[in-house]
Amino acid sequence: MRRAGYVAGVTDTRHEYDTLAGLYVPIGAAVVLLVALLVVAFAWRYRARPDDPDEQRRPSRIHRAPRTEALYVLVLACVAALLLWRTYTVEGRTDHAASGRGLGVLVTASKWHWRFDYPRLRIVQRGTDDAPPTLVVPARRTIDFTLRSLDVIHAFWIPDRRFKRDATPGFVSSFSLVFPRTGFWRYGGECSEYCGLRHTWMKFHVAVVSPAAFARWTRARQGGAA
Amino acid sequence: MRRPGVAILVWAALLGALAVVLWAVFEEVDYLSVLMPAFAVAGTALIALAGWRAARRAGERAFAPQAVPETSWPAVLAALALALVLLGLEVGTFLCLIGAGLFAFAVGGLAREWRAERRTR
Amino acid sequence: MTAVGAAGVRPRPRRGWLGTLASTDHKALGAGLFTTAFGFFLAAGVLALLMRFELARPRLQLMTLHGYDELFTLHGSTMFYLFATPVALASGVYLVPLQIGAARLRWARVALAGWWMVIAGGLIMWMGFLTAQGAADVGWYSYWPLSDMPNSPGIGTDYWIVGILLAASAAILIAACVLATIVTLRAPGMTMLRLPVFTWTMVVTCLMVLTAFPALVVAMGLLLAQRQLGGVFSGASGAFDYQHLFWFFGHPVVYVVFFPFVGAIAEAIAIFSGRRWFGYRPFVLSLLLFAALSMSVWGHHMFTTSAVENRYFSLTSTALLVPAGIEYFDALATMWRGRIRFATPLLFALGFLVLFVIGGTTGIFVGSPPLDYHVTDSYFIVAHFHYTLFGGSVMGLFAAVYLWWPKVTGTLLSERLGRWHFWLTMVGMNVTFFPLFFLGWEGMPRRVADYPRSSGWETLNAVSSAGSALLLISLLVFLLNVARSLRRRVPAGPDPWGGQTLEWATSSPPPPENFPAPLPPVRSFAPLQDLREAAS
Ligand code: HEM
Ligand SMILES: [Cu+2]
Ligand SMILES: [Cu+2]
Repeated sequence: MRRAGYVAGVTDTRHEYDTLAGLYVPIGAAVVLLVALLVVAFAWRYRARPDDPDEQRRPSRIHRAPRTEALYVLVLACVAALLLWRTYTVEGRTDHAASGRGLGVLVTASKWHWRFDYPRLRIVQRGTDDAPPTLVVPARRTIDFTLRSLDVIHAFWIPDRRFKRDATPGFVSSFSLVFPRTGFWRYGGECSEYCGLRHTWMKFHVAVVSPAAFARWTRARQGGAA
Repeated sequence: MRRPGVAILVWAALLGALAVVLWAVFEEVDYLSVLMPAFAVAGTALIALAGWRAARRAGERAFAPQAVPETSWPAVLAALALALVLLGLEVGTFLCLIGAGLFAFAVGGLAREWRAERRTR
Repeated sequence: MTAVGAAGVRPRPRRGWLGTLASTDHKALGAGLFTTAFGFFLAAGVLALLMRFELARPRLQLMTLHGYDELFTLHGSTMFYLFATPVALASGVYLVPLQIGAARLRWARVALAGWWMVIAGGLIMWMGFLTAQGAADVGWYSYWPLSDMPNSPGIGTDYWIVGILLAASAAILIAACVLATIVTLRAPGMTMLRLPVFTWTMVVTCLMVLTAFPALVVAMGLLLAQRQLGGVFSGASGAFDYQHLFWFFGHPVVYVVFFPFVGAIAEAIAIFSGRRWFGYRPFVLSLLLFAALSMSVWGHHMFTTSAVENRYFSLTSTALLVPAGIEYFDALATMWRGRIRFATPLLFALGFLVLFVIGGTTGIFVGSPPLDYHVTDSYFIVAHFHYTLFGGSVMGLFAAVYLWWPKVTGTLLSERLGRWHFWLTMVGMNVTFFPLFFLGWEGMPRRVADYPRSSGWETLNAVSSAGSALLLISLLVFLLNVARSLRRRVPAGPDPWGGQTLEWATSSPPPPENFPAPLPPVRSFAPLQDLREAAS
């Protein structure tokens, strides 16, 4: 099983996210630690010691260091440039529009339900108030999502895929995802844009199955539903 | 940067430069993305102009005698009247009317304050 | 109406609280607006505690789903519109005339009206709780079409809009007064490049209020019209237009409530290091750049809409690390080789530095669209913005309160209670908000009253809720300190800390005319430090 990188020409969003976060998080953590360390170190090192007879120290009167600051700004700019370069590269990949070659799934959000249509397979997945629907997808195959909303703004979020997209009424957005690992994610999909009363419970399950199992499921659903 | 107008203009220029990057480099033409930064730049430039003119007369004014009354109930009333007018939009027109009446009354009071100030100058 | 004596000296105002409610003295006005805003902070804090209690365990315990929606809407809205923005401006109203050697605030009556608009707006917004359908339930940015009549029919939402219209207009009016004061009423010798650091932060703050808040007034006006009459917004473009209008205000407001407290901690760090603020001129320039950038990042709130130029907003958002980095450099360089005294204002200033950098770096993180796709609208964002708003604004606010309390009231606060307050806040803040980063990363969306038992989020939520109880205790310690100080009235004297700017050259509290004696000469942005350094 391939777990990372490209699958069928479409990006594994989780892999991309982890790689990019792998750059941002260490830098961010280092900056936070450095600042905390310097604050504590300076506060300790330069503390006033009124009872210390040796202390003749007068606070420094140097109030500017234009060259050092210019150099420092240069370093900051380089860090910003590095982050942006990586961000642009990764975004270029994750923003792939639907490839058109994958399995098409139409996602419809409405207060407060998800609905998944597989137009080519003539399957519809719906839920009830108490039992959310399950998004069933084959593993390692590109899924071309088309996302829309019937009423207010919702957002389609699959935390495991590290991806979300807004569903704005009157606007159709498309994107592609791949699901490398098989498994069942209870409440693995959520609405993340506040959409009113039952926003809290607007969720769905995610089932990623092997291609063979998906074919079986398809046949069963078509047979049962027809 | 010594003059307030200049400092504010520097800011307008920075805003403008960033907006131009959005419009020209990224070719964003969504109308609000054009209008809102344009308003901000123009507004800032206007503030700079007003500030520049006002600052020229600032020296005398800073220590000129002040006749602003210690308390100004009409200013308070104007604020509350305005609130009533807005509230009236939900609650009913009668509240708008009451608010408008009170507002007129407050403006009268403010006018009286201004006249008194003029006299003491 | 009182006649005016020579040289603009007004007779001392009659004491008595009724007079202070309509006072045109910027000190009474500033203190009044400040107190009002702080009252709203406490009220919104109570709502936050209720939310944290509800979230401590899965399922609904204390309230209904709708009740929770009202709580987060009123908590966020009160914090931004009625607490943080007014408190930032109130600090300017009180301090700016004193820092620039002016006798008064320009257009004080306008600011006075502004104060009452904030009070009225706040009461109207909270009046929603008394209506049948409850208070507004649309979230602090009330996206259309959710906020339209068919989806949110409660009149509480209309009250909420009116409240915001009043508070936002008030902010514009007050900002105009403060900026006009800076432009026209500076003492002789006080050029723009000799403005104290705090006053400079107020310059950019006011500029941002004047250019960004009109977008909020327009958005709320249109939303009210849409709800009452219809026909304003329609379709997807209506939804996106609303978001553009809102976030054109909604991002800058974060800086409006942040810059003044950067100024406050800068003053505190300078004073308690015995040094003037480092690198003044580059700092001023970076402040202008900071503000200009923050007016140009609004689209990062719309990364997941597919309707904005993500790369531009990612560029401007990431670029914010440059001016922010300069600010940190200058703060540390000011401490460098100073003589540091650990008074409470300094503790809060250092706490600000340590906490805000967490909010800042996670801000750069979500400035990257592929990263934002995952964590936006999750608890990660809630953690991020509380590190900026609580770790930044509120810590800075407390630094300001401890620094200027002696000036404003003429009495000292207890340093011992101050230290307790600081450490409790520091611990409580991190315990409350740090776990939220992990919750968001693991998939907990924001604005939910409940979460599945199977999610494994119970522990972190319980820890966060426990932290909020600590924050409550820390706040009680602060209130105790305030009450004690007002009762004991230990005289502070004009300059208890070794201040550097003009407000420390007059008595505490300052007399109505601010500076009865001639001002010291102003040859830099730290005139009193000049005198001190010349003497030693
Ligand atoms: C006193 C400690 C505080 C606690 C315990 C606290 C807690 C919370 C909680 C539990 C939420 C709801 C999260 C959700 O359901 O999505 C929230 C949202 C929020 N908080 Fe706070 N908060 C505190 C202080 C502040 C401060 C000082 C500010 C601003 C100056 C602030 C601004 C906000 C905003 C803007 C929201 C978003 C509201 C919305 O989603 O519409 N909070 N806070
Ligand atoms: Cu939803
Ligand atoms: Cu923002």
